[in-house]
Amino acid sequence: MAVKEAAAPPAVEAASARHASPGRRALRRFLRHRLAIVGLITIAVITLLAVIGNEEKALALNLRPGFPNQPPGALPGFPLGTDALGRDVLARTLVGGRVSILVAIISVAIATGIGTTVGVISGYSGGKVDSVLMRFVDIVLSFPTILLLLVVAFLVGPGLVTMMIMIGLVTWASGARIMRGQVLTLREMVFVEAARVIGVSGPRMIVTHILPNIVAPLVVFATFGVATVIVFEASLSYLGLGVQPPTPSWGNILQQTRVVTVLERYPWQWVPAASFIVMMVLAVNFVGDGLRDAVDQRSTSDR
Amino acid sequence: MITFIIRRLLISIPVFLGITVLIFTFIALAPGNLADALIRPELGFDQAAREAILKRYGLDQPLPIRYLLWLANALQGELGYRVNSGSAVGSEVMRGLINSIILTGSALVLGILVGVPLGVLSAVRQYSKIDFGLTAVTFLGISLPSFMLGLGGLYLFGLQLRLVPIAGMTSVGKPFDFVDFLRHLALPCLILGFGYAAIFLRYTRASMLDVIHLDYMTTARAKGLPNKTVLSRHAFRNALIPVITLIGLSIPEIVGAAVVTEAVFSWPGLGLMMVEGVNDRDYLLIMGITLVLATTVLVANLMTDVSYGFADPRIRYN
Repeated sequence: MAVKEAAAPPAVEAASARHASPGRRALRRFLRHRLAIVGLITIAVITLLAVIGNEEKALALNLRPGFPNQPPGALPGFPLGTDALGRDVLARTLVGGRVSILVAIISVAIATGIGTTVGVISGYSGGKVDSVLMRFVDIVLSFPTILLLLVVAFLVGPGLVTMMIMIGLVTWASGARIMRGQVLTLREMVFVEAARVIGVSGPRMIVTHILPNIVAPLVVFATFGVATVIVFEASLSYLGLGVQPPTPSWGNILQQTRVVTVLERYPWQWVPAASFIVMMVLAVNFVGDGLRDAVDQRSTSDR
Repeated sequence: MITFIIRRLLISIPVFLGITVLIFTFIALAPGNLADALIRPELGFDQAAREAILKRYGLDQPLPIRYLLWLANALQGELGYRVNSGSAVGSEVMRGLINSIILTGSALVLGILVGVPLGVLSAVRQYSKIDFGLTAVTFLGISLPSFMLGLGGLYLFGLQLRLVPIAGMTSVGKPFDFVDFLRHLALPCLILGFGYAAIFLRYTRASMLDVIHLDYMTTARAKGLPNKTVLSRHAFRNALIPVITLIGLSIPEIVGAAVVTEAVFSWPGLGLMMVEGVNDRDYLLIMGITLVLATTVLVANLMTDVSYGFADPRIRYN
């Protein structure tokens, strides 16, 4: 992705970067990534819109004749029209974004937490613990995530909170594998060995020496995770197994399109939510790509 | 090789049983059961009817007994009956599986056939215009969820332009017609195939780039081999290992992982059937589908390991 940026002469960069700290250098690489900046701004705007969405308006029914299924501009005060129950599509889309983004953040936090814990324990302990944990990760990874989610949805039933937890519970495995790889290389480094020689205990070693050094891949994993989870939320809610109405979410707004009439005749009811999902997912991926290039030292001149 | 396969199959049996025990236990411990789903709340709570249902479906037995009963029946190909229609779970699951394989399987094959050659091309012409273009398209293919492409495609090509039928595998009320079937398959298959092609392109490109600059490539060129031979025999074969892993990881997805695409296009596959099973709290159906899923995962893993041996002679199983 960062191919265009690679055009900057490496010598110039090396000279200017000589005195900068690694973090500052990473920041500079990130800022040079134009698409990532565009992505970051897009995310900020969508999040801001989601925060200012009017919850009262999103839930207010209006079943009087002449109110349901009105196109944009037909009714004053309903700039994007109304849905089948006469609710304001704009407010529902914005508040729906709030729910979707919240699900994404919490699920990713859970997945990152579990993934890091398992990965660090596995990589740091090595031996039997490592092989058992990694076999388990392999098994989790070899099942299609969405089908695992369906099984879990069957077990715990649909709902907002359960969905956050269950998405977190089925998406941590790839994170664990990434973290383990990082820890394996760190474990052999001289400074870790030195710390061990002076008698630093296992837990302290992990907290003060290992974790700070794997933050970068952790952040990249979490960023891409947000895009994945937004799609999972949309998918589950679309199938009727996620966020339950009347609470709006991008996914369950799209659920209305399972009625062909809505899909065909009332595009204003679902196109805004669908566009927000697409924009959000693309933006998050741009940012993720930018971050990955920024923290990956190898990628400065290559790729 | 044959002893390796047999050994792997033998190891698979306890793994397989372990998975079924795990799923069975979880499903049995889940809140809500068949009786709750069958007794309509508006009819009032009827203890006697509830017990009758529990007894009829064998749900009054202790858990280990229930598992053994299910397993004994499952080994004879008897997976029980669906709650809503009463049809046999075994044949229903088979029907759904075939439909899912038709859709996702063809999309996967399409993705491999398009993605792998383009990935090689992209790597060989690194930094060329073709490479930039393909990388951009790949980014879209990987980022854009097939869900959104499905909805958009259905709206545009199905409802506005009326180029393709909007739902199902065949037209209702007409005798089976292969062309008609292909028209139903085209859009969902292309949309899923686009996603697969993008993933395979990115993997193949990265994997080719990893080997293309190695010393033995220079050696092969230096001893005068034509570029084509160097690329196909020396580079591509070595670059194939990660691609095979990816194929192996993708195979379990043909068991209905394209649930949302199946839902968008009303394709009667296994994923959509699983959603029905979740809604009906039909544990026999869910067990049946998980059984197929677990089998596919184990077989795909085995096939992946075996195919490594063909791609890379250095890998020997002894």
